[in-house]
Amino acid sequence: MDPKRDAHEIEILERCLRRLEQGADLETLLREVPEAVPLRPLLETALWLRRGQEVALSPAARRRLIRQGQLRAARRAAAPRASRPVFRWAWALVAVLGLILVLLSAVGAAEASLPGEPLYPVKRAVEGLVTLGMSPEERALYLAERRWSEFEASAARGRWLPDLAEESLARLEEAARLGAEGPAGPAARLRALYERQGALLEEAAAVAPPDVRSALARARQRWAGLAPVLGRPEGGIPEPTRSVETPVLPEPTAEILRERIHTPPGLEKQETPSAPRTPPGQEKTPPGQEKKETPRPVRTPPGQEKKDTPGPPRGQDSAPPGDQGPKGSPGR
Amino acid sequence: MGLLTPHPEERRWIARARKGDPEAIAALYQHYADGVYRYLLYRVGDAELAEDLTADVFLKMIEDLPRYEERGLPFGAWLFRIARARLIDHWRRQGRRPLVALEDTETGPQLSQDIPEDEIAVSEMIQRALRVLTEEQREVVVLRFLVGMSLEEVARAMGKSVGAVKALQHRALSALARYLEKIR
Repeated sequence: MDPKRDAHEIEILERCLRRLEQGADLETLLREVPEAVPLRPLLETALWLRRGQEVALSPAARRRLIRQGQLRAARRAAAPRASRPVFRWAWALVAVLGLILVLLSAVGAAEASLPGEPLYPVKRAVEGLVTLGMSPEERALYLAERRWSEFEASAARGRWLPDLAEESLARLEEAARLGAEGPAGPAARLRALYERQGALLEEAAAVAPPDVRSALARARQRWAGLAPVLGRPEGGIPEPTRSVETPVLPEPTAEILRERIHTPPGLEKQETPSAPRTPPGQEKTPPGQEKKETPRPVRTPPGQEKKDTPGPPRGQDSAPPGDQGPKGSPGR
Repeated sequence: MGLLTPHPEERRWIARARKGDPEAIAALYQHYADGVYRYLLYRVGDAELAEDLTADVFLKMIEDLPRYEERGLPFGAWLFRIARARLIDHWRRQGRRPLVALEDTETGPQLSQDIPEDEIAVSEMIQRALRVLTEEQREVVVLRFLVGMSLEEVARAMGKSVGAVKALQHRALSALARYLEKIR
């Protein structure tokens, strides 16, 4: 077989088929196109096949089909509108929006939840998502603020949760460490939170139930330990209100405190003549000096905590009443 | 009239048929039903089955009419796609080849009793002859000579190049001519 000759024959066949389609007569066509003569059997076959186009549906079958189609169309038109695609989409949209609304409501309700409540895990999960895009410092500070707000809210309801305080302090510590060279904005927030914590921890020592006081005292010690990093709060570090359960530890010497607590320049003279208040746990006095410089305070009898709170330490004797450090109250 | 030849009133029929207008639906059937039926008859070789499949194709058309304009195809081409899909679905369900082999049938194709005798004779002969072709050759012959599509329309419908369809057409007509020569 010659492919070139075949291709030529295929082209002539197609040209002749088009002429026949346009109504040309086969004999006339073959006279006009002599090279199509060998294709006569193929062209005759094509004409014979065209007779098959005369086959059509019988009139009865046609009527039956049309009736069927009209009935189907009528049923479609009468079908409830909601079943049409556009309405199905609308329903789907309403359902999705409803679900989103429910989820948002749950997230909103969870936002006010506290540990031990059913929606609290939702709050923590959302928190995890929200903090994904934050820098480590921002994240630590955000979590410190949130845990502290929870601590305040639960304290306002009479529930003191030292774990929350500890977690907040740990996050604050982390944020302070990460943001040592950070911009001023986070530093101001760190400082604000630090002061809020100090105020409430001081109050907690007086009003918290006995079973949590020691845990809260530990939290306060941890808080005071942050002073070198965050700076002393206004009015100095307040002396914890002594209560029956609060562990009483010896007061440190001024020298030791100077070593441990960063004192802003210019404040040394005001505070150094006598030892300032030192948070419990920081009172590491060199051996041999305890008895002479830091007489051990007397334990407060039960029920007299507020009344019998020891006076201000030597370093704060002359401070005005309003300069005793921030006094927070729970729930504020 | 070819399957793909549009009617001047077609767009108005389609718009009205969407709203369930029985007259518009009847008009679409009248214009296209024979082309669809012929295509199905010559592909399945059974008039009754071809009628049932034609009915299915038009019912599907009514269901899908609201989505028709999105496809951007001439209505006839769209309808043909439905017919071809319905045919493939039928073969898949039957689990067998499109047409039984010539030697497997003694009685020839079944034809509807409503069809006139001379038409039955032509139709029956054509269906017998089509069995000598390969599947692709048969599709080309049915679409080009029995349904009445142009070469380009056949190529588009089959997803082939015009050159490939021309070659298939040449081989199919040669095979049919040899078959007809032999039985005469």
